[in-house]
Amino acid sequence: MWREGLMSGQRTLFEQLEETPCTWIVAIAYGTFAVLTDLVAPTTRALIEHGAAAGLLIGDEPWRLLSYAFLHGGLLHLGFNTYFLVLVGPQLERAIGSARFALLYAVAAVGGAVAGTAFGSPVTPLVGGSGALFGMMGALVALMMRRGRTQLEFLAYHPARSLLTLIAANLLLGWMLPMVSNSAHVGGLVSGFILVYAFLERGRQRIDWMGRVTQASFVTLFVAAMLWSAAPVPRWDWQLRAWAVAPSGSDERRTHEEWLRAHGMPPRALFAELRAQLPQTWGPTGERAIASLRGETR
Amino acid sequence: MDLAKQGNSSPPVGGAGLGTRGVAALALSGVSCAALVVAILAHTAPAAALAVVDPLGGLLGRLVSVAVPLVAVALIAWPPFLPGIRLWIARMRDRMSVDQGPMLTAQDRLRHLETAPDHVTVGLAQLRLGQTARAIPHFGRALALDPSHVAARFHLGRALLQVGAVDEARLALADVVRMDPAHAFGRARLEFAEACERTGDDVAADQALADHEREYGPQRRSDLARGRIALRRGDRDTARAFLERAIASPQPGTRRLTPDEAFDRARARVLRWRCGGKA
Repeated sequence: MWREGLMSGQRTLFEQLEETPCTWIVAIAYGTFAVLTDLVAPTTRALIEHGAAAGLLIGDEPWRLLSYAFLHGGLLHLGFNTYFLVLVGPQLERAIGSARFALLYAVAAVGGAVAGTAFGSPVTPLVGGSGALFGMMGALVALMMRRGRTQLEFLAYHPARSLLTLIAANLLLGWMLPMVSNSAHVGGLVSGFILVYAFLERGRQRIDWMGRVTQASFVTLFVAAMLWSAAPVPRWDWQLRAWAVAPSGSDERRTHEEWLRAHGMPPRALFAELRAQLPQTWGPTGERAIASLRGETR
Repeated sequence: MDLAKQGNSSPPVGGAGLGTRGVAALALSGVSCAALVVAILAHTAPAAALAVVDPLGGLLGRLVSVAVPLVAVALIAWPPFLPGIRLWIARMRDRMSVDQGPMLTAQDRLRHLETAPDHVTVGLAQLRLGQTARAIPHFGRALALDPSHVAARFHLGRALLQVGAVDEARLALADVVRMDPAHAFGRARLEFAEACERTGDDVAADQALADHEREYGPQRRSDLARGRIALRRGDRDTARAFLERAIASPQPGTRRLTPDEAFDRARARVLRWRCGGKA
């Protein structure tokens, strides 16, 4: 009897798929990419070939700003992120709607990738849905702020305080673990929060010109950050490419060489190092990246 | 000027200025436009982008290592800084803790029937939310519906004072003091004194503050204002006496100073230094 009562309140898998399709599509994508790249311990080469983000590749392949958010670096990584997605995703998707949820996932993922590649090494691959999941946490905070009677009312409730503690604990963990890109987490968190707070959930308040200016500024900043991640001028990989394509003996080439030397990276040694490492670890994508650095594919 | 008529005409918010939110929005738009220009330059004229960004990195590094700590120490040592931060946080917390429920209900009711109390409810919530320019017409309309509504007149005066329409604010607050001198536990008198001071009428301001002190005893805000007025007319001894009272430590066992009181006390300390002698 109790079992019937309990079961009657539960939704079947198909009902859940119908109600929160985006969450389940993302979860299925996680699983599919995990199988494609190796479920237990995917190699760097497999991750790069399937869409991992790396600062060096964004200029030529900007789609990596989004694709990295469906890849994971191992069973534990995949397990944590899928668990959190299935835990929070359906509630959030029901709260804001499927289209908005999809937009939130994409914006938070791109925000995470932009921050992760801006503050990380250009040859370190970035994978995982955690940037987007942090965006979902930011979105939850924004929703609670917008939907309460007052903006800070949510602090009086235990689940909301638990969420803030979870965010703080994860950021602390990300700061302590060297293989975690905490900048991607912060990028995702901030993007998700701003998207929901400033755009998706305005409440019943009328938007005045200041609100419009703020919204336009956030869009401009986001576009600027994406453009910048494709051409990070004061970063060694961009300087190396500029050095390689400049005519031999030109002032321009000398300027770039001086810049690289001043930052402790003589261009020829750097090229030799990349040529020795990238094709081995990244496979054909590494060879493409070196060709691009030499200005052969641009 | 008949303030009750303001409900049917444009409120005097011409000198309102942008306010903190407007300045922040414009600053954000400036930063975002600059970022976009640099990002576009990075694609079209990389050398120019590098010329902008590379020195900026060095400059930021120097600022962080030398100037920022120096400025931080100087600011922390300046008495009103820390109480000012406390006051700002308290105001932000207050602004974010405004219960918008009564305002939304009142707005719904106003669609069908206009009443002065509903206009005051909406205006007051908007005032607390920092939307002063939107609040003013509501108070004006409330006064048009009920000219004897003292609270509407008082909040209109406060709002006008906030947006810098000091002459109109003074008129409104003078009416409040005349109609109900004890309104808001005498706060109307303090606001009226501020309006008088800002219009340059130190005599009326001092008189209002003296009346307030007689009714409600000395307060840091009124002591600070009276000290400032005395200092302006060159009466250093009187100024020193008021300012010393404003900076006096709270009695042991009494409540903690509110953020406003702590800020007034810190400002009084600076004025006391200007008067000469130790604070």
